Amino acid sequence: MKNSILKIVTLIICIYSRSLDCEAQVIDNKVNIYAEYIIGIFHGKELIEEKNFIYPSLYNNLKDIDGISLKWLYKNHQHISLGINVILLQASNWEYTGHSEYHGSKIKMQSISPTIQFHSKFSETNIFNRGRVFIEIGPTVGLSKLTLSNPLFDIQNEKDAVSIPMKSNDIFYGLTGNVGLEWAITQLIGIYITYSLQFNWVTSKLYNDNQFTSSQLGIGIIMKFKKDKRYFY
Amino acid sequence: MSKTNWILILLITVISCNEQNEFEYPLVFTGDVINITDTSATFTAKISNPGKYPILESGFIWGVHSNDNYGIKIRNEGIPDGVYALQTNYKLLPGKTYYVRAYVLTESTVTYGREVTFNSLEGQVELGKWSLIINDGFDNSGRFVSVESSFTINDTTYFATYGSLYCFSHISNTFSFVLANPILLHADISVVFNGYVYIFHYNAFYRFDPKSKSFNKLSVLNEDVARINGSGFLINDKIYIGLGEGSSKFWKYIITEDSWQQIASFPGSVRRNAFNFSINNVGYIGGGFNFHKFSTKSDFWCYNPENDQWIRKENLPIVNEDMFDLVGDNTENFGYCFYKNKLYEYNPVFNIWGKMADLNNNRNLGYPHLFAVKDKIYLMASKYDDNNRYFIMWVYEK
Amino acid sequence: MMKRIFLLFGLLSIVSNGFSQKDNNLISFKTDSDIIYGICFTNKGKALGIADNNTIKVYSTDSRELLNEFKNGHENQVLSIDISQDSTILVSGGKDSTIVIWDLVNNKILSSLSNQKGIITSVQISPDGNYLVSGGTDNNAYLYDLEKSEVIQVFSDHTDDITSVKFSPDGKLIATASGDKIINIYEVKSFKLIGSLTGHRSWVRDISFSKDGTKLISCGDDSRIITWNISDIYKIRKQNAKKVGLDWLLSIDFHKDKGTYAYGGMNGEIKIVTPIGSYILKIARPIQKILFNPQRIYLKVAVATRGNGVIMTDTRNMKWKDFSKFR
Repeated sequence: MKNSILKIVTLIICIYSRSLDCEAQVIDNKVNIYAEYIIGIFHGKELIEEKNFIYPSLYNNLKDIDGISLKWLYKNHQHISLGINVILLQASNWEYTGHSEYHGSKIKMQSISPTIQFHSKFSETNIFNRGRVFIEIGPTVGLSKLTLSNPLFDIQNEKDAVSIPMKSNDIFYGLTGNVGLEWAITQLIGIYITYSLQFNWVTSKLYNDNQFTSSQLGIGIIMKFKKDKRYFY
Repeated sequence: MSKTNWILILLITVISCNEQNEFEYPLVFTGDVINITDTSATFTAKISNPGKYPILESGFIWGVHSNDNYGIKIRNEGIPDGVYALQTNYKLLPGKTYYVRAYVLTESTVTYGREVTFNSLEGQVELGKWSLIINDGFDNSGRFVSVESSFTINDTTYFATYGSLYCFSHISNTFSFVLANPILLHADISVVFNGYVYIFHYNAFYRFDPKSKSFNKLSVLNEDVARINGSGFLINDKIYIGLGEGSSKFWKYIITEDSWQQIASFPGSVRRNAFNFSINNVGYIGGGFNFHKFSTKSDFWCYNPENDQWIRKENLPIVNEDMFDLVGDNTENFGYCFYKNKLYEYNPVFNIWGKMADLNNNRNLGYPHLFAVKDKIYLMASKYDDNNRYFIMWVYEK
Repeated sequence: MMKRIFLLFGLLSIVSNGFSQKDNNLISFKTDSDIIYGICFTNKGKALGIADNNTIKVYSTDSRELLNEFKNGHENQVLSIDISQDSTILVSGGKDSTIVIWDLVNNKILSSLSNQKGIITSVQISPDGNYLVSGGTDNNAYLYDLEKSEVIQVFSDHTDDITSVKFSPDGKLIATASGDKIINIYEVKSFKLIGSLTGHRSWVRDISFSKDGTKLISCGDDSRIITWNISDIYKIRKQNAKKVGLDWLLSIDFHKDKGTYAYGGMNGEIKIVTPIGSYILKIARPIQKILFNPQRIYLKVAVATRGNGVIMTDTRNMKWKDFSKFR
């Protein structure tokens, strides 16, 4: 995680420095499309406790999350943009000392999140001509697809062979909050970095987590469309 | 409608159109074991999916063996929904690793959750002790070589040995000759029921009245081949016998009906002189040796008359040893086998053999015989060597 | 190892900024605002008028000295200015929807016109000094009698903002460019619409007549430059259309020499195109307006930028690209 952050920051310095004097000053636009690569971690207790029942958590013991997101935002107001975010994540590398229930299992999460972004006002002259600071919030709904590596159950039937459940598709829903920085490199392209926190509820028959929280770091590019034709008035 | 709106609708539809999970059979998770004390532990579980079929039973199977479907069962009262917890139904043995799985039973399937292990607290294991009670020659006119079987009535234990019947008084600690009878030749199986002794000889049981010292022949096993060196045990009013020369067949003799019925054959290999006992209405067969290799067998089996089923249990803790020196019997709650100064106790609840106190003996024991009287175990051995006869007996108790 | 490579690249990028092409050898004029929309030369190119916020400043093009400043005429930013051929009148229009006619010599307001509802984006005085044409965000172009300071005709054919209005060199025609992608040509005398030129695929930002009046050149957000043959005003045809890059082209100006024109746009590239080659200079900011200096010393242009104020440069500072290499 630290190495990734360092690489991301260095990349930003490179691109920022290249864009400082070498490209034209940007004009405002209405539509931004964001494409982002994400890395993240889950937060929470390693064990699920329900009454006296104790079981290792699936999500909180997954060590690797990465994925991509695609977001479309329309600027309605000088401080507000509205849009939708589609996120595709995968999580793997389950580890918990002394346990192997979900070892080797993988999760793919697809979610969609209507988003409202509160951002700094576009300026013609200062750092907020190219730069933008933003906060986003929105509900999330998605599908978590689990593929087990080891069977969790042993189902015995005297007559026929019984297939053991190894996959599960579970709907999750929750809230996402992001903070981020954008920087326009040209009139058309920019880069951004974002930190997000997600909280989701989920129910499944193959694991005992009923919620999961993750924080994610993303870096991506922005494509800027629908420039303001009336930009100078 | 704009392109963007169509894309959004498509995305939402794709995400939401995946079928929700409906699993046909119940699914149960075994939770971690909690509240472990020196005598007990609490098991927890959660039924995450009830399935499409009615649940008949749920609970836990546990014991000292991994993935043992014949382990100790604890059942829920009623059918719980979701999380349930039960405490162990037997006292834990100290310093052991235990395995537990939750289970849910329907008419056609049983679902087990993951196996969880836990360790009981360390503690003192009572090994018992041996005491020498007889150590002298035996003055008689007959040969006292090997004991085919023994039985105890009140405070007297009787030994059938090579056509003769001897008895030992636990009060006076003395032996005496009772009678000689050809029926007592190869009297490998003898059990006491309602004050009478039932002794198997060749192909029939003989009822022996210890008061009148008379034998009464009972119905014959419908079998042309005479059976010697077989094994048998009493459960309620039935005597289960089998094995011996060249056969794995088994029968039960119903004492109250004086009738025979064949039961499931012994699934292990054929053998002779296997030791046997019964505890809690379950019969056990172990040891014995085959005819050609003359080395002791270490597999150990139990028979459940309720379902006419043989189940293999934990092997004897001795392998391929000399055939004549392995003997066994049982007290009310435990089985025992003895080999060359080593005593092993069988715990039928946990299906585990444990080593007990060693016999402090430096003699070569001839034809040892193990028998139980109430909660004591007796080991008797004799040897006829040139003109020297010696006779020795120990008692083991906890 | 990768970490070090990344850091090294970052440092090199920062350092290389010191060696990037800066705006050296460019004459710049001191203005309050760095974002300028309107500029205009006097007839002989000795002075340059610059719309600086809500004032107009006039500088000497030789000494860059501020010659005059026209204040208190506008309440908001001035977007377009023009100076009469005889250099006596200055007109300005802007965000306050007001056109101010100034006495350029005596620095006083001759009249202030508030006939238009929208923001005034473009103004031009006719070559004979009798008329004024203006366009704005109300989609209309207005023809004023300059002496009477009154509207004599409103042209309402456009359906979007008017971005540029120009008189032909002989003063007989008016061309209007609009966000509706159309260029309209009107006859001044009859007020008649004699041609609607279609060819651009997005907003038309600027138009310029050739000095002989036979051509009209236009540029727009579609990154295209279209040359129109208007030698026969009743049979105006598209002579040439070419796409240059991907960015909006915001300003274009014909030079007195036939076939030479200059343009600039959002990508910060100043380009002077001649029949045999082109001169190119990349600056750090978008170009809002480009005008040839009427003085015939080199090919010299004044450029109003978004962020660098107003600069003047000539071909000595620009890279030459010979068209013959590509034949």
